[in-house]
Amino acid sequence: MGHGAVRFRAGILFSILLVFSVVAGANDDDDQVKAMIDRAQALVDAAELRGGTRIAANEMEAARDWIEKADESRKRRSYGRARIQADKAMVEAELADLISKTEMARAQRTQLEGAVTKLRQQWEGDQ
Amino acid sequence: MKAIARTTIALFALVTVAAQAAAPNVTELRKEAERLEGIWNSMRSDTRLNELAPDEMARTAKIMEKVSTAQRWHDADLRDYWNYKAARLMELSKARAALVEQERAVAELETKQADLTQRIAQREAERQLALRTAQEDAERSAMERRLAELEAELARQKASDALTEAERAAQQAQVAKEGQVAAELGRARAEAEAARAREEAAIARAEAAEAIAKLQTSLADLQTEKSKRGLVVTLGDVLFEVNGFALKPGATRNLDKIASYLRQFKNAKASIEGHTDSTGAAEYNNQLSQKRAEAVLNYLVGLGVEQDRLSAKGFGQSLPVAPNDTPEGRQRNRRVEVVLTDTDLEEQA
Repeated sequence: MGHGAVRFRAGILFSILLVFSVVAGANDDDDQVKAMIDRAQALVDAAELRGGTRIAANEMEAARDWIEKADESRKRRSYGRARIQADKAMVEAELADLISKTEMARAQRTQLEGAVTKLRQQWEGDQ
Repeated sequence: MKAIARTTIALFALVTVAAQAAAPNVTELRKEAERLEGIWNSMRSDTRLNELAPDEMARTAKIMEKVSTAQRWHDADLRDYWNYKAARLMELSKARAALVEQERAVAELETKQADLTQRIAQREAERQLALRTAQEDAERSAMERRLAELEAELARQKASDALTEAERAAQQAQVAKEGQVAAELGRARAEAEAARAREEAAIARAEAAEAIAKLQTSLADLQTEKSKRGLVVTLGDVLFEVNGFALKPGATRNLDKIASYLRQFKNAKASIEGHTDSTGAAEYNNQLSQKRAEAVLNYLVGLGVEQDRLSAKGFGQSLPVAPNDTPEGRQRNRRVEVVLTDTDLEEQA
């Protein structure tokens, strides 16, 4: 076998490996973007249960908007753009999550302050 | 060929212009980055944010580093992305700090609530304990008063019982004394009775002895003998003819004495027994002795002696008092025996 044939075969093998790696890399990107979208969606759902649509309306809307855009980009196999959009969705979802949690904690604090005030009055009144 | 080249250049220029138009304005991006740097500088020195949201602040710091370096890349989209993310992470840091503050406040309030609840509950428990203690003291005092009352009542009862017991003892002593007196009286009476009885018995014995003496005197000329059965009066064969059972007219003087005795002593009884010698048949002798005993009985009844005090029985030759082989012996065996019994006299004697 001559050197030419060897180079030809090596070239063929390299091409096959390149195709496989490109396909595998695309699959990884898709999975990563889907995972980011799922995490963001889960946070949005949790925030919604805590009344996030009312309290963090802008963040919720932005998160949903970025999720939709990221999913569309993912479907177009534009993974670089999809990852950025999913990350933005994630940040907005985190914000909505924290804002809704803060609001709940504030409500709980108000309730506790009332309870503590009553207890203090009871304590001081009975002295 | 030139036309193609011109067209290509024109298209490239058009695409470049379009891309420049679609991409964020570089000047605005720089201004935004500078604005973010300013905000970040003030946030970075905020100890509250560093304390309450350290993770978010660290994430923001990394992004702000990229925002600074992205200035050199001339990639507007990426710079826009970093700017956007940095701005939202700053908001996120503030949101985290606010949440942590609220959570700390909630925790502090929960602690206060628990503390107050516990203190109130403890005070309520102490109050209840004091109340219960007071109630128990009151109950104890009441019980002690009741106990004292009961003890006093018991003491009164004991005193009353002692008094009653003393009265009963006195009564018993009185009764015993009376009983003793009665016993002594009874004893004296019994002794008197016994003395009288002894005296009466002595009198009775004397009378019996006198009666016996009289009886013996009245029957002195008769052949008498004292035995266990009583006083036996033996009448010889002079009462009847030979082989006969009719009394001889002059032979009844001894029977009159016996009849007189029986009339005088009403408690006395007489058992009349007929006997023969061995001459003749025994059956005949039995009948003869029976008839002779009955003849004596009838004679005594005729003299006024009650028949139920008399009995007659013939023994024939069965009970001889002497041998029948001599005339004297046979004469002694032919006899009538009257056995006189008087239980009163015998007992008194």
